Amino acid sequence: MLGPCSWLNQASLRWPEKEAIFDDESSLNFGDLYETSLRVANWLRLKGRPGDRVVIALPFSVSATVLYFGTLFAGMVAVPVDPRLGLDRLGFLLEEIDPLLVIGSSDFDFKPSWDSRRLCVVNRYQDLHAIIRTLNVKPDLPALDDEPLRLLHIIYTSGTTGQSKGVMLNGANLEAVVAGIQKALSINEDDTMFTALSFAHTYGLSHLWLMAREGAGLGVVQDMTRMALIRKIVAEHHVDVITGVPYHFALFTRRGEKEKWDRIRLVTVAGDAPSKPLIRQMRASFPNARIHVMYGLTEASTRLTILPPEDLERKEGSVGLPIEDVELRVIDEKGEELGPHQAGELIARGANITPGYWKDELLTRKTIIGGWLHTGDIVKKDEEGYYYHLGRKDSVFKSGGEKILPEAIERVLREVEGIRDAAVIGKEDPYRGNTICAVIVQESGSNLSPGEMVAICQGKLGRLWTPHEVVFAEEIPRSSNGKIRYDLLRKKFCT
Amino acid sequence: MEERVKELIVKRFPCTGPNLGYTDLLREKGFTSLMFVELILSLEEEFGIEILDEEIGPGRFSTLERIAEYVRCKLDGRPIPALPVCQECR
Repeated sequence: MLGPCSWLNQASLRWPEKEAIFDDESSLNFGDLYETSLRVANWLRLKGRPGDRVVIALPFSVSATVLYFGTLFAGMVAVPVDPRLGLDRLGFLLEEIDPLLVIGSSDFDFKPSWDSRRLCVVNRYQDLHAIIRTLNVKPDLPALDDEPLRLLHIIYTSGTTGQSKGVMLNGANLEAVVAGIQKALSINEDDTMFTALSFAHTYGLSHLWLMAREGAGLGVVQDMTRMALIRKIVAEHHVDVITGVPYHFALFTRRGEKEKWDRIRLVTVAGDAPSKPLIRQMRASFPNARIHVMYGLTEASTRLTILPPEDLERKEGSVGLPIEDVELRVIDEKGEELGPHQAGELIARGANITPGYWKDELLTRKTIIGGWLHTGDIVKKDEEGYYYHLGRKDSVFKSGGEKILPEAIERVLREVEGIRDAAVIGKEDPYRGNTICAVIVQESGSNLSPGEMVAICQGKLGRLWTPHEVVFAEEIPRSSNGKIRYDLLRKKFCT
Repeated sequence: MEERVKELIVKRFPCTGPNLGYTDLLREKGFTSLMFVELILSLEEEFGIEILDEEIGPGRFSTLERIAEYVRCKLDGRPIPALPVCQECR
């Protein structure tokens, strides 16, 4: 047994009575989580065979956790999916996965054309318990091989192009990435974590791996805006570790020091680099916490770099240093390695890198070359080896021979009084290659003219990066995880 | 009040569309949890109110009508209405 199955097996022996997973409705200790997961495994084995895929379209909850471990103990492939995914994208996903079972809640859009025998409704943990009790399924451990390359997960990531890709992850990937994360965070059995992250992404899932491997408790919640419930859970379960993405902390820490979370000793934030004002607000709200900014992607089993807390101010804007046993390089278009302070594409190599994409050999070969994952992220590193995320490869363009990094310009534009949101794209130009076009969403009541806007930019960005053209828009199109859809912007403003 | 709240939402979240109805569920207009966080922060900023944690819950800001009612109660210092019970209106 490898990865989550072996960790949970060990945890149930070492900490049988200790609280493992809890949400606002139920809680399980390690012993019960292990036993119930085995019952689910044997229930799944009645329905299918090892290697079958099980789609779990539930919010992060005790039920989702039991189904997740049950699927792995059955030797099957867990496919966590965001229950709010639109029907059209879900339909495409299910045809590609051909699952043994789709498990969702009753308000989940099951397509009428799907084979109803493959559907299973679980609203509350009690529903799952009832299914297992009526079948009187025994909790014995199915035979499991130790094949480290056996497929455990298919995780769908939309990236910025909106086209879903199924990233495959195996036991070796998880063993490597959790060892690397743990080296930097040192979660232990006295910790209790809380997160409002989604169960359908590897950042959220990595909490189940840390919970099982280190014996730490984990609290999850379905609706992250229910602040009173979150405070109650955090207090009642003595939570001391909180994790999330920047906008979670924008809500949790909006009162700054007026509302402190004194018990919190460790905070992690990933998904986007938190802004300077947000970091100040988090410092005030979590006075006793080590705050780790982190970066990674699904293809790297969630994690590539972590910033040590003592560097939060000294290395402002950095996403930190590579985690253990991960090699990183910055390369130019020709694949040559670049030196410090030179922007280029980040490539990564390590045991945490995915073996490839589900049923997409072509994309796998284009993305993983000679064992190196081409992340498509534009980064630079400084002379001490700290990495800085600058943008996405598909958003970068050249203007007047200069490499233009939209995210860097956008960050400056969003700080301008009167600008609520901004995106920068390249518009083809016979002389410059591309003109720098800023798409601006103004605050209500502000009516800056394009000319004034360009003048402000000149002051802040200098001649090279000042937009040649400014257009105004109602909204900047973004994907479900908040990333700017440059492809849609180009379609709208460049054709 | 409804007009002022509607203007704030339609301006700040164009995905809801200009002719957003007072009882339309924002969730069905593409509202994500990221947008609900922005809504809470912008209501506090726009109306100078402090939205207490215990006042945030399923259905509190689910429609324009409910948001306007909530803001009016906060500004007048009146008690906040209970959260809707039925699953549909959340």
